[in-house]
Amino acid sequence: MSGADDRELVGRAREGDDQAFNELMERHQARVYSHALRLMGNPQDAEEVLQDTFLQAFRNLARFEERSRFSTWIYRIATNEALMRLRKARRKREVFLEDHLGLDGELPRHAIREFVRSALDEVEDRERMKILSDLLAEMPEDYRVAFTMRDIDGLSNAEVADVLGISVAAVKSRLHRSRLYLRDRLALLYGERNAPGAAKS
Amino acid sequence: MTGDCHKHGEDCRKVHELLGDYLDQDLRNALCKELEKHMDDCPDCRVHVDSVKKVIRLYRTSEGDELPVDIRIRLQDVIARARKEQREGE
Repeated sequence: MSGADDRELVGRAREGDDQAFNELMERHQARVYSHALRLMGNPQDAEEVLQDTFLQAFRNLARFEERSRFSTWIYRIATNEALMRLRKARRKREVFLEDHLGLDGELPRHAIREFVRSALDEVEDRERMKILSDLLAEMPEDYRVAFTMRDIDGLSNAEVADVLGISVAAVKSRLHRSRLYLRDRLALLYGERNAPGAAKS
Repeated sequence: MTGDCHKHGEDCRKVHELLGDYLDQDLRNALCKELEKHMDDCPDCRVHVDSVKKVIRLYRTSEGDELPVDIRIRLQDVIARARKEQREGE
């Protein structure tokens, strides 16, 4: 690892320095892959997104505007690659968030209270990550993408709106629904895991 | 008492409506304090807000920060091939 910042590496990579581009990849590949995996919901598609993202970056480095950050640029490419694939392959089996949220009032308050008190954070990492990514994968893409970018990756509402080409109000609405959906699903799952007679892992 | 109950219900509705802005710290200070004061007296609203905070925390702390080795190698191969093609085309 060199001490050069991304801007310097981009400059060197543009002049044909292979090592500089390799280092940019090294720095950003894990984040791009995690992002792709959350958006796509499976490792095969996520890997395709990862590869195509860096291929695009490699081929279009000359067009990268230096006033923006490389991390933002690559993140945007990855998001677009993922969205393009998702739109092409529109999943047949989608959960309709509105239908699910219609049940919101029926979810017993104690279930939500138990969820808040639960030690779900302490569930073994791999198992917890599987639960969380499975739930994320069942949400319609519009919601999944907004939640991933805002609540996991930490972009602002305005940045998410910009990437998706929608209004800030639409981002907020998707976020709100996603958060409640995931909360309800996690609370139900937690309830099932802890019901008398449920197998404990 | 009726007045208090009515006010209580209104405040609960406000917490639900403004939850996103509250979590995103997009509310002006006075309104934020008003919601927090209500949550101090209303366990249901407190649980509602805490449960959503918990969802966000669970997801935010579940980031994988390592790329599996096989995926890393295949990515390097893809870029190496693209370099080769580019240089052959020049």
